[in-house]
Amino acid sequence: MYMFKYVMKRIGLMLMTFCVIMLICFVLIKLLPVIPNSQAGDKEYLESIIVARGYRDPILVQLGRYLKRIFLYGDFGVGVNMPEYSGKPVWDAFVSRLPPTILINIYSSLIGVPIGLGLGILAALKKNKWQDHTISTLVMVFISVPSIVYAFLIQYIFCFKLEWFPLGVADTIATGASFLSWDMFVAMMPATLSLCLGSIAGYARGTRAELTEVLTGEFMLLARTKGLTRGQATLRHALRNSMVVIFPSILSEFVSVLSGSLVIEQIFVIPGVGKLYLTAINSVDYDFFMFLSGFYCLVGLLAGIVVDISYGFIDPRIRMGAK
Amino acid sequence: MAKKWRKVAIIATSLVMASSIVASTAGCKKLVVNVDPVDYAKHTYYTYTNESPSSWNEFSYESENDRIILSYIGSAFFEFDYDFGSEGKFKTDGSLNKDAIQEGKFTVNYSAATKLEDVSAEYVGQYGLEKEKHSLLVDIDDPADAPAGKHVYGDADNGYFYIDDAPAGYEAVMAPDGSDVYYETDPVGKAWKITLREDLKWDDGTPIKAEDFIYSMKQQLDPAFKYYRAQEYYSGNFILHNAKNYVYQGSEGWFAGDTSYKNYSESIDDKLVFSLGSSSENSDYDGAICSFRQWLQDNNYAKESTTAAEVGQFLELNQVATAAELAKIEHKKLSEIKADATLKAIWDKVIGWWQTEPDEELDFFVAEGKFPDMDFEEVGMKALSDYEFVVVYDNEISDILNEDGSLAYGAGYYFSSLPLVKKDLYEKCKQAPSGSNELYTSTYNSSVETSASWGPYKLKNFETGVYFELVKNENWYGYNLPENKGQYETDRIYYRIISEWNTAWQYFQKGGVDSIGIDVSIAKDYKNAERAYYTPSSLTSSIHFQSTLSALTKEKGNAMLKYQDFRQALTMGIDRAAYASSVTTSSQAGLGYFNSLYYYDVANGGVYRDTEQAKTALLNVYGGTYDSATGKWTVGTQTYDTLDAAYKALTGYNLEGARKLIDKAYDEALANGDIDAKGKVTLTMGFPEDNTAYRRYFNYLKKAWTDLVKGTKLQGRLNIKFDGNHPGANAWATDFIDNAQYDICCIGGWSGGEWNMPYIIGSYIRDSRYAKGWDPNGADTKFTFTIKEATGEGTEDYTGTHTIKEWFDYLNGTGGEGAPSFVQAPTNSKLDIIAALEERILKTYWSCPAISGYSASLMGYKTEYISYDYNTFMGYGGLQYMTYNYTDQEWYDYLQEVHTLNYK
Repeated sequence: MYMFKYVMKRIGLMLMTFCVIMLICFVLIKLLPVIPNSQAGDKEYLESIIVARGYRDPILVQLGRYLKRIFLYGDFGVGVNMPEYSGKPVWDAFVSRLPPTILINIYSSLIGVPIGLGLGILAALKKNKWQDHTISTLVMVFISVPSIVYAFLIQYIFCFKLEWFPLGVADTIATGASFLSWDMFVAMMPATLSLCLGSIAGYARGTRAELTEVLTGEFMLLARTKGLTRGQATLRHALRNSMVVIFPSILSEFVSVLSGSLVIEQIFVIPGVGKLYLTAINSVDYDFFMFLSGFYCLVGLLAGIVVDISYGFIDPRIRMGAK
Repeated sequence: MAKKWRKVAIIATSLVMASSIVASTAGCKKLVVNVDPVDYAKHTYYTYTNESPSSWNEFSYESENDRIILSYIGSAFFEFDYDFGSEGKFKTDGSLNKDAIQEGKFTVNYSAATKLEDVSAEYVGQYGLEKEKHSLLVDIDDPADAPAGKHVYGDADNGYFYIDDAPAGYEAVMAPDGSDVYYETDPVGKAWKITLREDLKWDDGTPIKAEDFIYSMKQQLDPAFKYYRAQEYYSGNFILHNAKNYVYQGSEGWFAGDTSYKNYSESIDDKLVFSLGSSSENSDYDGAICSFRQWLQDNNYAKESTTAAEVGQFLELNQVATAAELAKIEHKKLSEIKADATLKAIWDKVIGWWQTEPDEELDFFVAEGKFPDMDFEEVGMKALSDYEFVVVYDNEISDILNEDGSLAYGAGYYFSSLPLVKKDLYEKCKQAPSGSNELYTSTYNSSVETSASWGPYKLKNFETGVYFELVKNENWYGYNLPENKGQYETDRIYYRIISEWNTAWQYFQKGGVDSIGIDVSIAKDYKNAERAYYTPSSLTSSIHFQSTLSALTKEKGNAMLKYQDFRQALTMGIDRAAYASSVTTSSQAGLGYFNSLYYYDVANGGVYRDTEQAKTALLNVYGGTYDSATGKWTVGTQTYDTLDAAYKALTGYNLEGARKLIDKAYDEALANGDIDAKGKVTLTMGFPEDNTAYRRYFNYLKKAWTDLVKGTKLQGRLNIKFDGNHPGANAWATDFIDNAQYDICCIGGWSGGEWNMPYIIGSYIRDSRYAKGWDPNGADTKFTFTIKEATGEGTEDYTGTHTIKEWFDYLNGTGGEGAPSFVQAPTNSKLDIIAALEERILKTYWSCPAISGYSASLMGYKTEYISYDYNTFMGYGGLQYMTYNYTDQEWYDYLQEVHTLNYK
């Protein structure tokens, strides 16, 4: 019951936060100067187009219309200044671009989490031995080097030189292959690897640091004196305790990758959502900007709640909302 | 239990890693690019663009990407072609005679149209067309100047004039009020009758008729849609009769007084607001301006930026009323003006000066109202039959037909098409207004289903952000034309969407893209490759110096830029050839504003830069001296026998001369207090962002200028700073031109207008010029010049002393009423003044040309252009003339064999 109340309270607060953020976003984007279709030509006419679109009305009037449109008709608007999407519904554009981004994100997590955790555990268990030094060095390298560098290297080595993978994902999409097909999985591998190398390093570093600390705890000594093997003590006690810190970082990584990676998508020719947000801001496309802001804001807020709740599952001592 | 967990972890990790490896090895047998042959095409042209088109609706397209698809699915009334000379286009065996292509020449041929006629005379009295009046009154200073036998009128106070004879075949007519004697001629170049081919069809076989063009124009101008491109039919070079009135119909808001009200009566006095102000000053009135001000702007007495106070000064000069008086009635209602005796007295002066006809009171006011409704019948376009229609413009369209009736270059260049949509499909694509948008919209030409083609190709597949594919439109009339025989070998065009050049480059090497531009990063290895070709561009990039004098101060350390000698020295300190090769892949040194793509005489292939006048202008600018006694030119220490030899040797790079100028400018600045004896010169170079490419510009110029000041009084005192903080569309330009935020801009330039030199030279004079602070109309820009046969062949020469801006206006006939106009002057006379203007503008040293645009590309092994000599009119012949060394199947097999193509 405590938990239920807590979740409800958090959801209520989340909605309030969401509304405030969206209101700020709406006002801020509307405060930017409206971009006309052209700097040349009949300025009066171009201005009349802006007026007819309602962009010169008071911001609150525009907000009212915007909310009415969404809640009454489920209409998120159409792109106006967005390259590639002018005149096209925001919802359709976003939904059509989301699958590749989500898939790559999932593949990246599926590969990155076990490897990252595995390496982290190994490094912690072999602390200050050659295994730890090797892993730590590699971790430092992968964390320091930006993913764009891996992306170019992976593309050049695995796609161009060794020809293990297609150069771009778009070629596979163009053949009509399903997003869940084997061909698509193969095509997405280079981008997935580029994305997850940094994550692997991050997970490994985090796991090693947490686990090393936990392993030196007195309760670990107690666990061993109870008769548990080193493996049992590590898995049941040490790892579980360290997950309190590691698990939220996995979730937040997942959420951040959901917004797509502009560079990775461009290099591997992936029609994902990475470019949409930036383009929406640069081109001052109100409907795209608001929708994407709303989406990412909601995902971020939900992730916060999920992370908080997850603490309770990982560590039973943590009870949300309990007095 | 622990063992179990360990097993699970090991198995999971192994599975993931194994699947990655399997995934990788599984793909290794396929090509890494998709060039699989398809059963509906034999020759596919693979190319790429960095962004998907979004809508290729002719009425509203916005980006160059949108134009890609439009260029394939539309046709032209008239088209350029190579000039194959007397040998003809085809050899006796029927193959293309590509060896006969005449370099730099062109022809214009009928394509979707079969006939073009100037029918302006037939439409006098309709669509606003009237006979043109030519006054026969000739003003003279002295009665003795009148030809013998001519009666001289007037007196010493009001001037003398006589009445000339009307040309043979014309009758002199006296104006009803006796104010003029004139003769009338038929209008020309305003009404054009176009006869269409009778076999024009949409890709589904639906015939295309004249009425379809009328319907399409009606849709284009439909006020319910407010299509972005509608304004092109009334605010550009082609003013379709009544197009603006049709577009604006029903609009409510503030307009010029005579738009909101057709007639004046005292009952509307409280609706009329007096205004001489500009659009921005009248923001409270929707930016409306009065008709009098519009007249001033149309006749170049005022610019868009001219303030109400400045217009007041103009009226004061004309002794209408003082500027102070006019300021008192600005933005006052006429009823308020009339209610106050003082204000009324001012108004009486204004209207007394202006009014000759009823209702002209309205000319000085803006008023809230509604644009009157209009029937499309009143717009200057109508069908005459199934295959004939006429289009009537308010302005004369020239260079469309040659004297012998053949098509001139203008027909192919800017008269080649009018909007066309497929009526039934277009109607289905209309979308009613929704949300806050009061406008109708259309989904026409935004997907495969909503697209229709009447061009050589049609859209087969389109997926945003992924690819699009076009195939031959078998219903295109052009495939049956004998002159197109053996052409259009390409039967499929496949566009990939690739944003990253490096990725595209790998696609190219794997055979998935058939040609690619050479990026500076690979230029060293590939610019001399066998498959490399170079395309000139009309872009000339200049180094622009901040000309807003208030932004050049001693405190900022940039005041030296005020000195012409200093600016000249900076430009002389640049080795342009080295600069161009350092910062671009293949561009070349640029000394003038116009390169070899600019034509002063398009019809006869006259290239501006090859002329004696243009070469002389540059020699004069860059220190050449001519010895009229010996006929030789000297540049620096070298003497040349001919103009051509001297011109070829010209580099504009002269360190020694530049250093002398630095010292001279420094002494002057020191004397004027613009620099201290130990003060530093700090110049900031602005860029949109900080990246490698911009750093190349900066590094080169910084080093060049640091070397330049060595041994001068500024040695060790010149500091060049990088400012890469001007992101956003064109912010770098706005921040330099309008906001004077930095001192040197080296990435801006002008291109285009290759065939309209009198107009394009205005880029360096108009408000949008990079160096906006200097005044091209200033007294210091005056120069004396003689235009031969100034108003047409056989007419008298004109000699005058005018500012750069005035000469430019006279050249374009935009000097206003009573000003000279050299529009009808012979081509060579115009050439003289263009070269003189280029020289004078260059000599201000505010915008100094540095790089003449060239782009280098690699052509893949699969395809060939008909010619690798760039032709301004035909490019390299495009897809029409492209040929293939491999079929799709052969190419696929070849790639399986070689995998990676080597172009080094």
